[in-house]
Amino acid sequence: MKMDFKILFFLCNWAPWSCYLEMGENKTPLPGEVKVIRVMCASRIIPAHILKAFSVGADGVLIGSCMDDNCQNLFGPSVVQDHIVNTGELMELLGLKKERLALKKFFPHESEEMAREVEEFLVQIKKMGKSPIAATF
Amino acid sequence: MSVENYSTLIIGSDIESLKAAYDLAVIGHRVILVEEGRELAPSLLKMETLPSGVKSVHAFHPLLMAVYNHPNIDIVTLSKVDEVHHSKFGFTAIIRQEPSFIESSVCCFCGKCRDICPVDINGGKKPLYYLSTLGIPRTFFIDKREDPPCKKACPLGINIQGYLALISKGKFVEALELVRESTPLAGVLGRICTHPCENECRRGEVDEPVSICRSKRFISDYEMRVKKPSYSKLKIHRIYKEKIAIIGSGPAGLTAAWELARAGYSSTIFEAMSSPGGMLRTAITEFRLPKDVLNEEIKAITDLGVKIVTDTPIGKKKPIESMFEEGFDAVLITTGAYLNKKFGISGEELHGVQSCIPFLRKVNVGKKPRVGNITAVFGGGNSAMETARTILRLGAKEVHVFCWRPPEEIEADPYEIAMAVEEGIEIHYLTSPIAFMGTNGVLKKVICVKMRLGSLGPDGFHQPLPIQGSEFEKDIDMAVIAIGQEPDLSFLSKDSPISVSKRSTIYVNDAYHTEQKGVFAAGDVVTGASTIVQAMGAAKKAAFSIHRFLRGEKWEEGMEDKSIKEPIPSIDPETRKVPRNEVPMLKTEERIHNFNEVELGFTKEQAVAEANRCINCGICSGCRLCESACGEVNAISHSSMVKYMECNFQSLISPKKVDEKFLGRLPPERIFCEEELEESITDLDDAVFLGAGLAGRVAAFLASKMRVVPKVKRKSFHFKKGIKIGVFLCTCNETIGNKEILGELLKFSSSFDDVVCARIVNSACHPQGGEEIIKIINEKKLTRVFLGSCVCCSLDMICTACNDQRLRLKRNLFSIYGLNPSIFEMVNFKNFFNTRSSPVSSVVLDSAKELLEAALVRARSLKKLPSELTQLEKTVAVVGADLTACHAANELERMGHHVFLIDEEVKRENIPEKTWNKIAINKITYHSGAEIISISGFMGNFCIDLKDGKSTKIIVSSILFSNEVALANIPFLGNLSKKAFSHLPLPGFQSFYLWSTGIPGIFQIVIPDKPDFSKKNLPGEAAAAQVSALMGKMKIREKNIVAWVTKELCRGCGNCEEICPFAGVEIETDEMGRKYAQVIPVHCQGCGACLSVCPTGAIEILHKTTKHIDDIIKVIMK
Repeated sequence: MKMDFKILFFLCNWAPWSCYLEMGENKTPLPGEVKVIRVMCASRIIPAHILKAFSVGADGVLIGSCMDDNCQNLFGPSVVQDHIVNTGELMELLGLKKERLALKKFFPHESEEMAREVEEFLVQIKKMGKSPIAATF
Repeated sequence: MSVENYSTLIIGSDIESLKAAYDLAVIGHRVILVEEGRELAPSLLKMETLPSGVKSVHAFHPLLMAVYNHPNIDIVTLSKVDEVHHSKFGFTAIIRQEPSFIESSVCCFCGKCRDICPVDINGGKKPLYYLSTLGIPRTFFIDKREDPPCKKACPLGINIQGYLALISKGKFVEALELVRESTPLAGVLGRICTHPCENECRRGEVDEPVSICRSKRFISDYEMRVKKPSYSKLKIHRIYKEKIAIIGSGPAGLTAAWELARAGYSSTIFEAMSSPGGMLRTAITEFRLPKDVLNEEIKAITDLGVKIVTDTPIGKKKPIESMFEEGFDAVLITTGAYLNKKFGISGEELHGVQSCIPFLRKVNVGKKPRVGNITAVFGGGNSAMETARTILRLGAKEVHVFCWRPPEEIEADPYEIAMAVEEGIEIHYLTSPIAFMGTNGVLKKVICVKMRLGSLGPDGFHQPLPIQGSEFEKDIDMAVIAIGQEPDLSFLSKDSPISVSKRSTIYVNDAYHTEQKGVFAAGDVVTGASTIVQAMGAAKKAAFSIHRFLRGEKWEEGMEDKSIKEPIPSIDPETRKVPRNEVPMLKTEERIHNFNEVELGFTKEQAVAEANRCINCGICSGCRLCESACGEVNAISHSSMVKYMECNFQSLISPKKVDEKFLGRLPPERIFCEEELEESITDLDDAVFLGAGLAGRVAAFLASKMRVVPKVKRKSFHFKKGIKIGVFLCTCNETIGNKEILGELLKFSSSFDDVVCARIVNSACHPQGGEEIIKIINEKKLTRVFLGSCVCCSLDMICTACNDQRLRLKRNLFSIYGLNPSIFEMVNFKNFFNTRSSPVSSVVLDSAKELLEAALVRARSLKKLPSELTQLEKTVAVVGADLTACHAANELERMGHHVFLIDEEVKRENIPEKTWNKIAINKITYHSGAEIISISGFMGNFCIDLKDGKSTKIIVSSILFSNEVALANIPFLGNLSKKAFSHLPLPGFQSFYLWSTGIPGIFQIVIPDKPDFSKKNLPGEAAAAQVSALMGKMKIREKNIVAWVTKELCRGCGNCEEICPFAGVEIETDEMGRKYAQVIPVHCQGCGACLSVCPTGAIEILHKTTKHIDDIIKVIMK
């Protein structure tokens, strides 16, 4: 059985990854539509990765970063924020809505929040429907 | 016992202790940390939230893990220093460690132990628990308390709570196995034991005691009925050549033989009668204990190799002494008490007056002796009741029991009395015979007297006294006297050295040893007539004593468990009342005319319901189900005992309070403590500061003392070309995924041409699992390895959610076995499966396959990771010569650093003469009134341009700025001039590091605003420790996460330099005048922000390149 929707979830190695692992410890299920990829810092995610994801069929891209004041690398959240604004504009130009890309910030203990945010994002994407690129596959 | 040498012994594991340990360890000292509790930093677990919004437990976790894993730090939990004394090395401490029952160094935290635990306390709480998944060590704990009263009351020490817990979960076979660890006679005891346990049972405080005895009978019956006896499961671990002779095959003899057989000795039982069993066979009648139950259990004992020689009395013909000549190495006398006591009144010799044991024996060998019509049994014990009921079954019309005690003081079990009364036996309390009368030598009647209660005797009972004039007559034609037995010692030879008491019992010492060497005695022959279970309990101990005697060990040594255990808790007042289950039995009219067993035993449902009545007041029941569930990991041992270890040390850190036992024993200059600061330490930052200060003080002290060479194990790594992939899937002790899915995944991975082998590993973090992986890597000559376990990466970094198991795996593979982390691709499969709603579905399998495929794509393109070893010179510049900075400079000098003290203006007036003199004496290069022109370079190679009269260039590894210096005014050059100083101190996560700035290698002292803290040079010492620790760290730290620039692709735009928060990239100009970026590995933290702004892709992080991520996206979004 194939999932109808696909969401790529970038997780920073620090707080968000910690939330994700805590979800595992608590056996909180993650929707099957969501595929997880871990990066060392949210600032490491280059716009090309995001566009790549859409080009191979993602319906949405969610990025999990640490809170602004808790970045191991000081400026990660603000760097990724800039990327998201820029990439969002590009996505609008490409005919993808910029709402398909979102940034969520977490504390390391917020596994429940993460589960909720993922769920909400999934609902939002489902409301928006398939991405125009994925729909052509 | 090998004695390890340490520089410092640290007491406690709160933040200050951990900080001190960490700093000292990275400076290069070996440290041992002694923690009383089960986990490190117990105060952190309170989940306090730091101002940054991060929970303290998360903020500190990576740092605690670093402490826990540092090769220079050894941590012992559940431990206390017992004693300290002076030794050759310095000082020696004896550390006492309480047993933890679960070996945290191998536990893989799979949770199977908790899942299988049959004990539910107050509706579901388990005695196996963990405090936090971030706990260190990350393992389960067993709440083991003192033995519950039932177990304490049982002379055999049967684990009653344990077998009840097992029965409650329907694990009847396991329950019986548990009983058999203490006794071979479960079926016998389950029927006729006087169950002292039930008298103590705490369920009795709620309603009625649990029917412990009959529960045991149920599991024994269950085995006989449902499945073949499992005695064969008992293992004999070793065989000794010594042989033991046991005299008497009663319950004591059988128990001793069984225990000795299990210990590895062959023993022979000599029995005077024609079949074994002693009192069990002769005095207990079929309606209470069917002979086939006894025979079955005796057979199990002989099946273990015990020989029983019947019809062989010991005595004149075959004295005890001859046993040794026959080749026995020890003799155990368990002949019991067979000689019947008599009243000593007239008429006892009349025909018709009998003793109970010979009478019962006749019945029990299958004869049917004639009984009278109106019969009387004299005595108040269980054997009196047994005799009365036997007589009734043989056809007597009336059976009377005369007993001189009142009902509340009678010796017989109330249950047995009730059964007798139910069957129509009349019991006359407070009545004693004074004469038997007969004609022609045949009994006709008995004259009795009524008794009243006198004063309390020494035995705790009232002394019955005859009531004058209350005599009466009773016509009877049969009387059986059942007022007790005493041992028959006629088998002892006259000149035997064994001494005998007036009550004709054998005298033994605490070890059951008689006065004849090698001859032991136990049971009724020692105590006089008692209960079966008491005799068995004594025999068990005697068997153990014989083992010790034969091995030349002392009886007393190591016998008792010295560990400190918490008392068992009080009973929850909410406990619901549940009536006791009564054993079904034959109706009275169905049983009084035959010898069929009266009790029918519990049904399965009854047994489970009854076992569920146990309130598990002992918390952990010790049923050992978890031990077997742990399986190959083998981390659990319920028999762990207190351990003692010795260690040598030079100094002691006890941050807040020193235990009095150290005070007289250690010279005061070797004890490092800040007792007066205890109240000032109010938050975690204060604690870090205190730890750092103490570390600095100790490091400076130790610098002049003998240095302990730290253990650093490193082997060379190899990174080979060519792709031969091995796939390993860890099952985390069979808890990840399931067999089907894992099988599918193995099949799937084998379908790739370059995958040479695909294997399942039971537990990769276990040393055995590691060895397995290494073996296969070497065998198959693998060049790339994919490992799906709970480990997220192969890098030498510790994140917020990293844990014991993950680090252990990496340590095993990379540090101990010397594999190259570059050849590994790791994916956290455990978490993947944990976050799926159902572990078995095609969707999960598909996703798992995607993950695996993506990992293989990446495994193929793995590159050799940089692993630079940077050695820093021990040079440091201290800028701003205020008091603290001067202290720091002095301490750093003592620690062996070359120190440059730089000051713009000379401010001698604030600095005491003493401190200043030290600076002059020490080899500190002092640049007074010097102006800093510029600072450039990077950690290990900072270049300071100075102007103090002439211009001077100083190259130092690190720079320490005093509190007074405004960093904003310092003329930093190049990349150093960028944002680096806007963040001090560093946020949330890094609160373990004191006073570091955004640039690695540059520190600034921030004097705490609590005046107490500035006393005794503490800030200076803390600063010195920070600088020194950094130097030490760079000697061993190998970084494999740093960024890497491909010079040909770089166009020198400087975006990377701009964005790097750590001044980790520098723009250089080559000979051609072309600009290019260069990464400074000692600064780079591997975040990858530079990658995201590089317009050409010239800068890369090798362990996860942009192409890697793209490839993964392609595969998983397929």
